Amino acid sequence: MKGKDIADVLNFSAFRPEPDDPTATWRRRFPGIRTLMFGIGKQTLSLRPLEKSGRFAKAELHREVKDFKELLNISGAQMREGSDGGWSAVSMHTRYVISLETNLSRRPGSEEMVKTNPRTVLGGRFERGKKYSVTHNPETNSSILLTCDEEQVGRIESAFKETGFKLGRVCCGTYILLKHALGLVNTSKGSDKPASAFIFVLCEGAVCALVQDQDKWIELRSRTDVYEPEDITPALDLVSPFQARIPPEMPIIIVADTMFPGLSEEVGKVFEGHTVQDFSQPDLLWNLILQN
Amino acid sequence: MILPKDIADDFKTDRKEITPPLPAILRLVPILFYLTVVSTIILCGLFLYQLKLANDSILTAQSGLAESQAQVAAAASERKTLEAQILRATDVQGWVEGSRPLQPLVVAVTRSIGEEASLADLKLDRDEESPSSLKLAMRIGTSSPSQLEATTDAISRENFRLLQPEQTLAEGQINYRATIVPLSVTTPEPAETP
Repeated sequence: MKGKDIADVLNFSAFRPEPDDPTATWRRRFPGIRTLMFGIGKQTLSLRPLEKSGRFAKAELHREVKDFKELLNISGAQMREGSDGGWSAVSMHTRYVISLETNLSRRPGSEEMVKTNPRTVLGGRFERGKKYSVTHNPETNSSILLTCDEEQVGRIESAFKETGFKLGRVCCGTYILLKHALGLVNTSKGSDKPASAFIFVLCEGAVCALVQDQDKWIELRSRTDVYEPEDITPALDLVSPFQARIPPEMPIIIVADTMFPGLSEEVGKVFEGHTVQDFSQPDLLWNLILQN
Repeated sequence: MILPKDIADDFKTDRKEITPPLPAILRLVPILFYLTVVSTIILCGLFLYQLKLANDSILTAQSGLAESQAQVAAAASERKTLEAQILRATDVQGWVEGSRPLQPLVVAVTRSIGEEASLADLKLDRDEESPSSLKLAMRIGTSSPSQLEATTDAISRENFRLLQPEQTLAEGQINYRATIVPLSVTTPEPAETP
C-alpha cells in the first residue's frame, strides 16, 4: 500500500470510480468537475463544456474542419480551459456503421464480450481492425451491431492525448440515441404487449432509422453526414421510402440530439396518417452520456 | 419487451490497471478516522483544560498550605507565649498560695518590731530538702537584745519553733538566722552516722 492509496481513502476518492473507468457513469466519475463533450463529424467538430454545477456552457460548432487534429492543435489549449484536467467525452458522428444482424451469440455477457473478444460473439461477421458494440433484441434473434474503425478511435485518442486532453469516453452518439429511443418505445415487460414503432434518430448530421413491428426489428438504415443543422431535408429524403413499407398505424418516434423547430410537422408530411411523437430535447445526447 | 439498461458504449482503449471503487461500507474507515482525530483533539483540549485547572488548584492549595502553616506557626508562637505567661502566672499563684500560711508569721514579726527598732530585711526561704521547715533571715536595726527576744517570742506564738538560731551584732544591727518549723510537724531525726 502506497501513501497515495491511504490519501485516496482519506479524501474519499478511493470510493469513487477512476475518471477513465468505463463501467461507471460520467456523473459518478466527475462529480463537481468541469468536463468537455466533443462531437466529431466528417467536417465538423462540436464542443459542449459541462460546468461544475452540472449545467452546460455555451456550445461551439466548428464547420469545414478538414482534420479535427489540426483544429485541436490550434484551439486545443483554449478549449481545455473549459475543463478541469482536460477530461473529455467524444461522440463519433462519422466513420461508423449501425447494422441489423441475426443469430449472433447470445451467451451470457456477450454484450460485454463483444468489446473484448468480438470474434466469439460475431463469428464470421468479425472483421479485423474494427470495434463493436451490440444490443440484442430479447424477444427475437436479431441484434443491432455498431461497428467502427479501430484506426479512427486510435486517431481520436492520439489527437486528444497529444493536445493535452484526457479521454473519459469515446462513443457513438447515434447509437446512444437509438438505444434511448428503444427504451422509450419498449416499456412493457415480456411479449404480452408487443410494441411497434418507426424510430427516427438524428444526431449531428447522422441519421438512423429502425422499423420495429410487434417487437421484431425489421429494418435498419443508418447514414452519417447526411444533413446540416439548418436543413434536415436530406434526412427526411433518406427515410421517406419507409413510408410505403411500414404499416399505417405504426407510430413515428423522433429522437434528435437537439430541438429542430417544425420537425414533427415535416415528418408528419412525409409519413401521412401516422402518429408522430418527438422526444427530442436540447442537449439530449450529452445528458444521456452524463447519465450513462 | 424491455431492453437492458447498460452503460453507454465506450470504444476508448481501456487502461489495464483501472481499479474498481472501494465498497461504500468502507467509507466508515475514513469517517471513523476523522472522528477519532476530532475526538482526540477535543479530549486533548479537555485534558489540557483539566490539567490547567488542576495546576491552578495545586497552586491555590500550596498557597493555602503556606498560609495555614504561617497561621499554625503564629498560633504556636502565641501559644508558647501564653504557656510561658501561664507558667509564670502559675508560679506567682503558687508563690501566693505557698506564702499564705506564712502571712500571719510575717505580720507577727512585723508587729513585734518596737518603736526604736526597724526591720531592715526579712527573708523566708523554704528548705528544699525539708519543705515543712523555713530558713529565716532577718536584719533588725537595733542593738537591743530585747527586741530580738520579742520577735522570737512572736514567732513562737504563731506556733513555730526556732531551731539552730544564729545571731550576730554589728554596727547597731542584729543579723538573725534560724530554721523555723511549725510545731505540728515533727523535726526529722538527723541520720545516724556510721
